[in-house]
Amino acid sequence: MSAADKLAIIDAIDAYLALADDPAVTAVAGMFMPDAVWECYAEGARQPSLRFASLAALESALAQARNGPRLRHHRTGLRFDHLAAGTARTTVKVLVTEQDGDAAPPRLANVACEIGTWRKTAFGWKVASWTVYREIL
Amino acid sequence: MNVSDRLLIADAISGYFFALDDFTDLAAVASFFSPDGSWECYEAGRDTPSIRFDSSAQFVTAMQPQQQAVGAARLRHHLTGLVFTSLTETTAETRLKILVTSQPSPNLPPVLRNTARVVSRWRKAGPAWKIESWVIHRESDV
Repeated sequence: MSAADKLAIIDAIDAYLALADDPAVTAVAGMFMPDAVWECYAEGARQPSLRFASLAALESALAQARNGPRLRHHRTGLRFDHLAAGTARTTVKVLVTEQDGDAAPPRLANVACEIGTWRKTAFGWKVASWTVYREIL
Repeated sequence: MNVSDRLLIADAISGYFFALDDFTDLAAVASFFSPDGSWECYEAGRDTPSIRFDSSAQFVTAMQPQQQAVGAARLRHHLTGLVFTSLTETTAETRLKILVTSQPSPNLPPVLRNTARVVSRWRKAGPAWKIESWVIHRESDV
């Protein structure tokens, strides 16, 4: 993997976290493989509390997230676990803040380790799977 | 220094903090240092270090008794700023900004514990970059 590939994946991670901050449903298909799987595990759980195995399901979940508190996903660590010409695996540390409205300050909500697997396509690097390990029950 | 070297050092910094967060494998933490790498920590407003280690082996030995307490605090080290202040083919110096959270219970959200500035010097050892010195300036005495 070249430095350009690493930088492209870093860009894609930041774009994904921006999407999580402010869900724009139309952006999902551009970031994920059509058969991508998104899962979320609570602290210590062996089964995911959320699992989406289609882009349509993920888009639906993101649309619903718009109604909750204002979440911000801050990337505070990034490790490349696997690097190859057409695939990659990353571990991202994310500090999540939430805010109830403009008049209230944000507060710390959670820390999560998020593992992404990636495939290189003719249209750039896409998420093949995204697994969130939340550090809270 | 080329972009690849910058990315390698950024990877090493993140890898070091992941290992420090975990804190179950002190040898993994120490592996980011050169064998004679030094580690210092200054409390807020102090000009002498409260802790200093002059080798990675010393770091491991000194930290072993702390493992259980540090693990229970579930400290997480969040990299919020990284500046390369010196860049050559074989050496580098970086300045980092860190935000530290702790979370004694998985039932509760994390709390902000501290911020710190870190000045680090690096040397290229074969294909890898290793820490030559790591100087922490904590911004709170808590």
